[in-house]
Formats: sequence, structure tokens, C-alpha cells
Amino acid sequence: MERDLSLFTVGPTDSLRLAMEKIDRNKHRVVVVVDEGRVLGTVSDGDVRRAYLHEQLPITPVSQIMQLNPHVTTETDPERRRAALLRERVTVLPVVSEDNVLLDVELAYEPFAD
Amino acid sequence: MRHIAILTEARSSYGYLRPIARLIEADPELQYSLIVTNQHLLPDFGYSVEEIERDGLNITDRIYMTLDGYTPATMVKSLGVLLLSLGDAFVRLQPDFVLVLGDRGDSLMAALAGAHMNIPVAHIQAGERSGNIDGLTRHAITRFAHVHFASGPDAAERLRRMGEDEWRIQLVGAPQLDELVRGDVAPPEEIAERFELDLTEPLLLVVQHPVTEEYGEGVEQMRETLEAVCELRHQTVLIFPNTDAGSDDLRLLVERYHRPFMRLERNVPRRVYGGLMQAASALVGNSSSGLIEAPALNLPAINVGERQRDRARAPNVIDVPHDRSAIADAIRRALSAEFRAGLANGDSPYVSDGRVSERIVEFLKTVPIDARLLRKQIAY
Repeated sequence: MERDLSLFTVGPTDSLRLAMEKIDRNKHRVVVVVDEGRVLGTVSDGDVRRAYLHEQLPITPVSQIMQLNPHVTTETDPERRRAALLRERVTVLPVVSEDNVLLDVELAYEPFAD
Repeated sequence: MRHIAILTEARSSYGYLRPIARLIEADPELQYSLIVTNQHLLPDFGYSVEEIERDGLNITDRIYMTLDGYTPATMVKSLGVLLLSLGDAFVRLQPDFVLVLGDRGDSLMAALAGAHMNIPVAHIQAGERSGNIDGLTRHAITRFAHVHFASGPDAAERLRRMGEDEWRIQLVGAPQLDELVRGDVAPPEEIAERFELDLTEPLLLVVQHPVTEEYGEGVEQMRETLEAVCELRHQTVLIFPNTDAGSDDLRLLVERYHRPFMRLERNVPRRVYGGLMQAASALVGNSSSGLIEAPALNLPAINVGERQRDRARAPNVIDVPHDRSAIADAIRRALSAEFRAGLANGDSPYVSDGRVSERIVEFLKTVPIDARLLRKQIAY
């Protein structure tokens, strides 16, 4: 199944506000920061919350607060991907190529229907 | 009670000002005020002011100064903001001494403000050579400083030749080596866990800053280094560049080059940086730590480009141009057992017996603050 990744990705110059909107809508607490297809980092709702506590504005670009070393997997086998997700205890595990190009996201659970 | 105002602009220098602040704190005849500015207050650099807060040090001033844009013009304007703010801070604090260090514009602003306000200025790391604008800045600070703390005989001699009075030149050693000499750095197990590293394999530590005189070339220079790192595919920890002109483009480039064998860090505490240097197989880039701290750990340093051109160096340094194959070759050479073996007990122009901070504080405490100290004459 091809997953629509648009709710799971933002660009590095996108705002905290946009990241928070996507996090709200994707229901997985995290978005992946992608530039020219490559994974730069991740932003979680906790990261945004901490940024607000540091008096960052909703227009601050996500690149300033993103996690730079997110857990990712290069596994192609679905079961191994699943195992990697559980091992890392994240809600969203980016699946990347050797060159760090985002291919898919492995999710901890299926989103609830709206 | 003698009151010392200390300026800190980045985590790199804060780490060795901290022991000095602690010594002042412990002395009933001394007090200090910590003025925190520039990178410490920026989210891009991981809010390092929080580390100072956790340490419980006496922060009296937070001077927000850094204009966005990171161009030569914003650098100048940012320094102007700092200078303006320091005038007010010194009026309010009424310090007896201003303590600055190194070769950064922030320190020059504090020296300018202090000297104009008749407050004696003491300068750590005086008289060393460094390339580009930093070198000019260091010697400009010397002109405005009333006391010069030198890290080695070579630096002390240069201060003498610059016409500074002998008694103002204090050959104390390099305080940034105190912690390394005492072994006060994060142990290898902590480094391995924190950065998810396998320390039985080679580890590269990459720190490369933009060079002000080569503004606009920083991205291509960094690309050469990153290509070399990507060719070798050793596990790598890369620390983001400082806020100098051109640094935002460098950060974006680095993020694009991020590969699974790399860790990117906005900023690490000094204790952790010391641990990384101790655990690393080679340091790559243009940080002064490759020339000052690395020799004390027998760590090979691949020094890329001109940023450290004029700085005194030990045999651990391999100088290379901004060229990916030259950098890759130098890393291979640095990782060889022969090269590393040749470094044991190598000479370094930077010395420490682990007690440099004590000597600095003792001098600040005892030197008479009088007309002799404040009225400088520069005699050639």
C-alpha cells in the first residue's frame, strides 16, 4: 500500500505552526523534516512544546529545533522494519535508502479514522 | 571585595571559564558576574545558557545580540549591539576587572568597553597567532587589555615584541588544557552510549567553521570535507559551525549530507567534547582544538584550509587544502598505527600542569588596581 506521506513531512524552512498542524492531523506526534527527498531530522510535539517554552514563535523554522539524529531504518523487509520500530520505541520510523532518501514511514499503530 | 565581570559568548569558551568562575566563587575576597551573550542564547546552538543555569553560576546579564542572516555585515552589526549593551552592563555592575579570552569579536567589544570606562581588562590566550580576522582581533584585544595571560613561551615573547610591559605579561599556561590534564572529561563508555558509537572501530570527529575572509566559499570547502568523510564511511560525529558569516548555509549543507554512519550535534558540553576528543581516532576540520587540545591527547588532527594558518602546531597536525582526496588521504594516514605511534610524548607549544586557572585567579586577586595598571604605554 502506498502511504500518503504529505502529512508526515515538512521542509526545513516550514514553520513550527505547520509542523504542529501536521502532527495534529497525522495523529502520530511526529513529522519528518525532508529536503530534496532526504531526511534532515524529525520534530515531535514535545520538541514544539519545548520550543514554545523557550519563547520561540509559531513562525520559527523547524530546522532550528528539529532532532538532528533521528532513528531511521534501511530495512526493506516488513517484519524487520516492524522489529526496528519496536526496538527504537518511536511512533514514526522513517524508512530510508542508503543515501538517506525517505521511502516510507513505519508507524507504531494505524491512525484512527476521523 | 574584588568584582570580576566575565564575558562568555559560546559553549566552547564557557567550558574553561567555568573552573575560573568556581575558583572566584570559593574565594571570600572575590566575586564575579557572568555576562552571557551570542551563541549561548540561540536555539540553533542548543540554548547552551541552560548548561550555565544548571551549573548554578551567577548570570547577571543576558545580552541578545546576534542578528539573523550570518553575513559579514550582520556580524559587524551584532558586535555593535553587544558593545552598546556592555556599556550599560558595566555602569550597572561596576566591576573591578573585565575578564575576556581568545580571539573573538565579542571579547574585543568587552575589552573596548572596559578600557574606555577605566576598568582594567585581563585577556586569556593573549599573544598567540591565529589566521584571518581572529588573529587581528586577538592582537587588537592586547592593545586594550591591561593584563595578558599567555599560554606558552612563544605567545609571551610575541607580546613582549608588541611593546607590552613585561609585568603585564603573565605566562600561566593554557587553561583549556587543565581539564584534559586532570582527566576531567566524559569517559569512553558515556561517549559510546550518548552517541551510539562502537569505539572498537575508527571514529572521526569533524568540526569545520566558515572563514570570514573566504566568505562565500564555506559551502564548497565544507563539501570537500564531507565528500572525504562519505568516501571513508567511518562512524563520524560532526559538530555544527559557529555563528560566523556563512554558517547557516554550512549547517544546511551538513544536514543534506547526513548519512546513517554520521551523528550531527548542534553543540556539546565541553566535558563531552573532551571525551569525544579522547575517544576519537582523528579530528577533521579547522577548529583550534586540533592544535591546542588535541596534542595533549595525542590525537591526530587533519587541519583543513587556512583558518589556523599562523597558529603554532605540534606533530599531531596534518595540514591539507580544501580538496576531498587530499583530506581522505590525510585521514587514512592519521588512522595508521605508525602515525599515532609517532605522537607519543610529542611536543606542544601549549602547556598546562592542571593549575592554570588557579594562577589566573590569584593574579586577578592580588595585582594592585592603580594608575600603573590603568595607564598603559605601548613602548617599542
